[in-house]
Amino acid sequence: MRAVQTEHLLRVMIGVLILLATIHLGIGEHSATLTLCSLAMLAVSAYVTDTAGLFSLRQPMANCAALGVVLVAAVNAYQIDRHSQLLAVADLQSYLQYVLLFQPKTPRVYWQLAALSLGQVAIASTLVPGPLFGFMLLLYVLAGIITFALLLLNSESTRFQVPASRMSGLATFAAGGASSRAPVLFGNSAASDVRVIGWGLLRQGTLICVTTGAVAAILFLLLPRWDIEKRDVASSEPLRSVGFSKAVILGELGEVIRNSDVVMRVEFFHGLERRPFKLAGEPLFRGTVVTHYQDGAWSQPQTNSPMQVPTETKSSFVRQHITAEALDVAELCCIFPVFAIGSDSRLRINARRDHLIRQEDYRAVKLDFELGTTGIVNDTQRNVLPCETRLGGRETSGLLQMPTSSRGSQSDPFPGLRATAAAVLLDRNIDPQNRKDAAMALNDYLSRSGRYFYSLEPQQRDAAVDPLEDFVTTHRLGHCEYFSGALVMMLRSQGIPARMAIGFKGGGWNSLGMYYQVQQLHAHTWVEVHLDQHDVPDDALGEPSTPAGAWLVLDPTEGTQERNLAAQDAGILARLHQYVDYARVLWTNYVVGFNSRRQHQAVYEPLVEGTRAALESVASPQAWRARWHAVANSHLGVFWEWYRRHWFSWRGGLVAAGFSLVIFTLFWAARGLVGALRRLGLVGAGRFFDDPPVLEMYRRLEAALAKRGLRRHPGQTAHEFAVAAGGDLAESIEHRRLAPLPRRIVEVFYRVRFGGHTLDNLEANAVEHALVELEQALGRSH
Amino acid sequence: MARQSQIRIGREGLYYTVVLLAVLFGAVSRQLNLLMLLGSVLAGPLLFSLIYGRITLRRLTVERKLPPHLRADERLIVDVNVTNARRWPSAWTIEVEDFVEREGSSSSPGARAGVCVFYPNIAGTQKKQVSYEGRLPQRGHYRFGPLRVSTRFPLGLVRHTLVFDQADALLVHPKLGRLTHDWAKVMRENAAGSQPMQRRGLLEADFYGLRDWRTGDSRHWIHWRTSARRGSLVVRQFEQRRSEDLALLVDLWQPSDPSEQQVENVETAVTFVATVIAQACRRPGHNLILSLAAHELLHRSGPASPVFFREQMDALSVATAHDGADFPRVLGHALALVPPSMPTLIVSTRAVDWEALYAAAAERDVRTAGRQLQSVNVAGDELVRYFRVE
Repeated sequence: MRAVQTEHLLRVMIGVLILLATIHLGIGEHSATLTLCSLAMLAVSAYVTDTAGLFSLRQPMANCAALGVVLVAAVNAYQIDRHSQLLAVADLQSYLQYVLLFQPKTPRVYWQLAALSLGQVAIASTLVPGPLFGFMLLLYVLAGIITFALLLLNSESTRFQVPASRMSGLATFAAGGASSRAPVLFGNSAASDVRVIGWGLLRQGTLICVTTGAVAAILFLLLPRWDIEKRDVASSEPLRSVGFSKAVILGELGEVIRNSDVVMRVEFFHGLERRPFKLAGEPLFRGTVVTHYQDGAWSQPQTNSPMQVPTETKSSFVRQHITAEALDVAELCCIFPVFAIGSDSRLRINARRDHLIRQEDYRAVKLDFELGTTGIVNDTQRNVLPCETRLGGRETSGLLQMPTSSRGSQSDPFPGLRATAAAVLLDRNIDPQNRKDAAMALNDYLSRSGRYFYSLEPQQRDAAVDPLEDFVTTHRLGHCEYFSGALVMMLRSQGIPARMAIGFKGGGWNSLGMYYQVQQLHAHTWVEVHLDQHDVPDDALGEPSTPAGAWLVLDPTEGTQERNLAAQDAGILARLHQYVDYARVLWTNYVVGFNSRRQHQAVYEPLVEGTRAALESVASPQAWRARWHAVANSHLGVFWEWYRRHWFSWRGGLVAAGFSLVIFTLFWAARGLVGALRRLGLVGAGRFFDDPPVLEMYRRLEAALAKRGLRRHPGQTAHEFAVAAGGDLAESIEHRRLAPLPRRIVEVFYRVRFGGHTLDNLEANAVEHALVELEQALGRSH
Repeated sequence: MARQSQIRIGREGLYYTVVLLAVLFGAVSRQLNLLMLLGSVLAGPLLFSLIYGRITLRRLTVERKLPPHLRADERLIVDVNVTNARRWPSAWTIEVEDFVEREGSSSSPGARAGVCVFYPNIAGTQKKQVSYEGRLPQRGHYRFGPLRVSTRFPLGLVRHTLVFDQADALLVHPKLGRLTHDWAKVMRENAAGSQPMQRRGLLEADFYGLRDWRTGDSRHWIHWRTSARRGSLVVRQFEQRRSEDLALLVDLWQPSDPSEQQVENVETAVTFVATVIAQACRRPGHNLILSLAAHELLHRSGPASPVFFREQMDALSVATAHDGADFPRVLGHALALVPPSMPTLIVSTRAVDWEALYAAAAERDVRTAGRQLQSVNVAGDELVRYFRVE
């Protein structure tokens, strides 16, 4: 009966296992058809075959059906691509499961069903992207462990069920029907509650699952990795960039606001430190700059051949670690100015060093790179950047370029804009020759005067005038491109060279993973104003200003800071989103994209460094003195503060896990070796782990006598105790015959233990018999 | 109690390992991270299986409880108790295998059988008892053990076994048959024929008690002292003594290369003798003599009692046949220890060689004339008149 209940549970779990596997596949195929089919088949077979017994496939029929299924799948798999072939194999496994579901259930059938589902998961591993696969795999492992445990329990319990023939067999034997003289024995099974088993297995399964997770993590991290030539190149279709582009056409922005595709993730580190930090304020990731404006379109007419990113040595810099998704544009966004920390052949920079691009081969792949920058000081992005190259006359004129009119008779397309700029400067009594103050005044006018408003909604524009002229004078509503475009033109109208920078602003700060997640909707434009060397404030660059001058970064867009801060409001959903994104990052970096470089960085380096540091710390007298000093001066607050900051450390965890693993392995290896040597007779039997047999013999004697309440006093020798025990036994009629046995056993014990005598078989048997007799007699009376 | 642990990967474990290695090999050779993850996840349960069973079994103790007495062919029930000394976790799918072996001899080879009991789940600090049952068809000395405690939890891939050298012994007595009415009749006749020709009087019966005198009572029965004390006549009561003393001389013989029937004859003889002794010991008060000519000679005598019965059963349990061609002289010698008036039954697995018996008796100056000597040849047909095995 118990076995029957367990089998019901087993059927349910097998069904869960099959469903989970098909859900895996369904996610990979982006279709729920297979899952629904499997669900239907499970329900029908549970009723028709397992419960009601209306129909079941016998073995020959099942074989024919399986053969037919294989043929159909083979035809389907012919002349199609590799991806579809994989799906055809997965489908074949499902069809075979359906055949098995309608067969009478035996342990073999259950095993086959489970094995087929495992095959489906293996195929799904090549199809399912993202951490969802990991989560589903975890569920599958839990269900699989419980299922296999139930399968074991069920098959073992079935062996011990009492068939009717068994008892009749006993009866037949009793009547003299059996000719065998061998003992006839039948075992039984203990009763068990199916609910106890169910919950117990769930607990046990969870424990195994946790252990499996830990083992899997360690094994996965330690499996050997090497770089395969085309590995990084193979990628999915690149994202279409909708926010960021090399050129800006006013009025085309629209869908950006709704597009949350992740463009890149950025982490900032001080120098070569490993702990990321958050910037004060929102970072501006520049992708490219445009200087030429005509008829509502910004472009960069000057192109120059890209070169390798130069490697520089800076005493103080910030490392930016960028994971850029595959995009359909070559430009890469980062905080400028940049320099390479190590050689990276995948990246190129233009001659003016304001424009980073990826090499041709890496345009459509996700790219993971690190660059140094001096554009961040005290966790804040500088608003004055050094101009890397001296501007030539052509470049300067490009930065002062004003469009020619193409709309009617007006020769100046920006009369209103020019007048407004002049009026602002005049109003504030600023000389346009003072570029910095003039630029900041115009920037302030656009962003803070309250006359211009930010909106991503398409606006009605006067087609007769330039869009920027219309924005400045008439329809004062627009997005960042209007604001920055207007500022550039206002500056140029006053003879101040300026350009528009295109990139991303801010991004969502993920406090869990300590990185910025930049999405398409974070695309932004701002303005960079060229300052001559004499215009650059002394402390703006943190270093002597170059003759080429500097770039003053201005963001004239109204209210962007407040809006972005509001967008980062940490609601539950936002928090959840952070978790999901961090899981995705971990999955991408440490599962799917875990390569030899990452393995080296994430596992071996911390392990080696941690071990070295630990050894140095252990061996260093100064460290011990400092530790003693710290302990002597510690109090709860200090400890708590320390604990709050350092309660977990990847490096410490890895070192501890690695060290434990080594110790554990060494222990087991040593134990196995000693065992093997003992088996080979090369070392003394049981010297380390078991008592010698002669001691065991004496212990058995004491244990047997203890059942009669006879215990050796501390002052008694074994022989005295045996004589006393013999006397006690002799006083009992029932045990009189046992009286000499303790003394005999102890005499043998003395001879072996202290006399170096070796027992032959006869003596050993005699002692064993005496002990058994004592144990039985005293055990019974007890 | 010495313990020895073993670990063995089963067939399923072998398949699983092959699949695991194939997945890992494919994953590493092609550098497929997700397949590596799957392989790593598959490795977890295998590693868990390699460790968990050992941890579980280490704190289990097992104990076997045998019945104090057992006759051959009687139903045997052995309780096996397993205690999980751990608080956590539970022990799952525990299988305890016990071995029962009959100690053999040259004429009767030993037989060994194994039996398993199963415990689906033993919670922490819990003790569970399961019994196994069966029948031991042959008398003799049986050894139980060792006890092999094993588990294949959680996935059935690896079997961990802990062997407890916990030996027990059980002496299985001969089975008992049923004596027929003919046997009772023969015994009565023997008893009557063995009454000595002497004067019937006080000595021919056992004192039973006192009662008041009745008309017709013999004057010899008056108990004068009690009568004087009570002031009325009191007579002694006597119980008629009917002797049920019996001497059993048993010749357990079989040739050195016995046939199945001859082996069976020895067992039948032992069963018959055991049955006779059992019946005799049901009513105490008379004397029994057992002289056994077997592989080891045995001579016992004493008043019938449960203790005597137990001792003779113990002896008969391990008695093995001799293969001497001549009729054993020791039985003739044993007649010297048998009072002449005691009915004597000679049980043999062959025809009794009376001449040899008399000759052996004569060696000890025993007069066989006038003795009530009867014989039963187990190999012949007469036993079925007296005895049946059920």
